[in-house]
Amino acid sequence: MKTALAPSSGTSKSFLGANEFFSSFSDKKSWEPEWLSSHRKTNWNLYQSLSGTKSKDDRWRFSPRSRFSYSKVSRLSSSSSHLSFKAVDESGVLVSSIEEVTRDQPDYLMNFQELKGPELGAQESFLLACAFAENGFHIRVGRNVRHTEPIVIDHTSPRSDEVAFHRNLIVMEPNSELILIERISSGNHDESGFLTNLTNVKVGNGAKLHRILIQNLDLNSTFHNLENFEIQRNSCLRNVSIQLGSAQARIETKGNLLETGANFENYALTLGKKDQLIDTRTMQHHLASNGRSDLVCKNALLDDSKIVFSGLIKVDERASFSDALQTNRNLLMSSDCEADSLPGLEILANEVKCSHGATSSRVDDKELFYFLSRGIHKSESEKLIALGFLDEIIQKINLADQIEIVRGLISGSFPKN
Amino acid sequence: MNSLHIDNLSASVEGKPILNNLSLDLPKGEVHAIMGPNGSGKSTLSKVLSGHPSYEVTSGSAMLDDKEIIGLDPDVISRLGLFLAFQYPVEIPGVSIANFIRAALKSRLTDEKSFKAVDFYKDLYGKMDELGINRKFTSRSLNDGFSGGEKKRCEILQMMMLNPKYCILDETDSGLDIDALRVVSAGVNKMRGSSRGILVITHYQRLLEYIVPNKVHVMWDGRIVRSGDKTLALELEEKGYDWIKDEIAA
Ligand SMILES: Nc1ncnc2c1ncn2[C@@H]1O[C@H](COP(=O)(O)OP(=O)(O)OP(=O)(O)O)[C@@H](O)[C@H]1O
Ligand SMILES: [Mg+2]
Repeated sequence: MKTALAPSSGTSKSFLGANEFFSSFSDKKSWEPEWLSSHRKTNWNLYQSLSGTKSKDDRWRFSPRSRFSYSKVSRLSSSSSHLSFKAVDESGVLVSSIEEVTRDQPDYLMNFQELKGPELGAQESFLLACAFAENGFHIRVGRNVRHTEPIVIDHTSPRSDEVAFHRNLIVMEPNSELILIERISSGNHDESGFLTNLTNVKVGNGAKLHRILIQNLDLNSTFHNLENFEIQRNSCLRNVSIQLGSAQARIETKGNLLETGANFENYALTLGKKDQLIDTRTMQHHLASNGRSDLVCKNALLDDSKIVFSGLIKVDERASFSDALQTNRNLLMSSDCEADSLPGLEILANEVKCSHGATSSRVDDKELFYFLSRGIHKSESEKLIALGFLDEIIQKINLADQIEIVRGLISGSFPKN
Repeated sequence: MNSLHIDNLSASVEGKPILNNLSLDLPKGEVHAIMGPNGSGKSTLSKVLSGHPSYEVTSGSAMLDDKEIIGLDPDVISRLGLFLAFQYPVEIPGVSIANFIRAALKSRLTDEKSFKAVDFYKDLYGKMDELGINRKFTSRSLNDGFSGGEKKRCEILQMMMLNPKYCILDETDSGLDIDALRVVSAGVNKMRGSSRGILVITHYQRLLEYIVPNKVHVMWDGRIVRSGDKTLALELEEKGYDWIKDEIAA
């Protein structure tokens, strides 16, 4: 029987909450504009005032929350090498680091103060990212600019006892188009620590963003990924999320369909192995009429891995004629893996088309026998079955080279014959 | 010996006996046909020989060129050279025909690097053309949404690509249109030869006009009750199975 909860693993124990630590951090940031230091301070105060891990928080249901605790790391990474990309500033496209932007134009990012996180439970990570992010990228694509060549951003996790915070902002001006590939991987060190990534995206009227995130961290890392998307009139955001690595990952993704005709597509896959925990929380929030959202989350689970999927479709009263879909499918490939699914609907408008469904199933014996009967070894058969199961999501990447890379990474997770 | 030699084989599923002391010898170089009423155990025989885990072999043996295959895993049996064209091929979403056949071929190589993609596609396309399968099918998910006839053609395509020593065709003719029957039969006939034995399971004498068998066996209640030449098929077509039933009873 479980008795009283252990002392909170949250705020108080982490070095990040210590006064001396914050003041020495602030000292190093003295070059920053006034608004930014006060923004950091505000969020740090809020972090300090968090009451620690609540024993019962529905937004963490099924998730062994302590696995995500910042008390496991003891230092803020001082390296700036956790983010790399090719800087661009031409023909209406800007790709730059947050730091650079702030040095060049101190007030440019002032609206950071108003940006919200997805607010699906990981408040702690949000506040910490606001307080301590030193790295991050900013992309702005100008009005009517169609950038056809994909932009690639690499995030790498820090050493095992360290945490790095990235804070990113993508602004798509009206009628612009962009393909963005974000790769999240571990550096050269043997074991890596925490990477917390907070991303805000604004997709202006008629703009299109196709974002692909490929997370392949080593199996010691902890990944917090928070993303909040604002989708304007007749604009389209397709987010494809490939979660392969990390010991534990908490993914929070919220799409706000703010104006009429907004289109939000969120496609995610996980291949779970060893004792990985992938905890995914999403919200499709329809705030205006005639929006369309489609979410498909497919997970194949090996070994002792565990996935939590919690997805809410929320349709506000004024968001009539919304069309919202949500599908979660899990393929359980071992006897010890676990998948928990929490689909939810909150519909306040009329004339709405909504559907959601969640299923978990094991590898079909007939299917497996068909592979074996052709001489294909069992492990290879299972690999092909998993790739086949996940193919629906892989194809959403829609770039031949990236599709091959992802297929290769998934294949590599299966044991050789 | 150069044959698929089945000796007094008995098998059951969920405790229910289906095969009942069945014996049959299929030498290389020959084509044999098995006919028999629904439920007599024809598909069960093909699955037992392929190593299907749901069936329990209670006695007897099956030798593939002097190698006992009863008790081996299905993938091992396949690599030894037995191929089963399924009566009901399974739909495999997300796995293309090309990737599936490639995996099957690679599983037979000791050194995967010796696999030559260019030769593979040349071979594959050539055989698809022979079988009248549109090349667009290479990237389609295996059997997923295929028509009955398309699935059967695809089984024969796999058989031709894998080049097995022994083939069992379980009602490959059911679901084929008249032209497809001709095309598929031509494909099978091309595979006839001294290095291969072929067992065709069918309900229809018509197929045996295209693929003329060396022997015809009648299966009844889990065993072979009568064997003869191709005229036996004609006799069955004419008289039905009651005739055999009466003879067994007598
Ligand atoms: N997995 C199984 N579980 C239960 N019963 C089975 C199973 N497989 C076969 N049987 C039974 O065994 C018997 C023989 O079936 P089988 O499919 O081998 O017949 P068949 O000769 O191929 O028939 P058909 O001509 O209709 O294809 C049938 O009564 C069938 O219901
Ligand atoms: Mg049958």
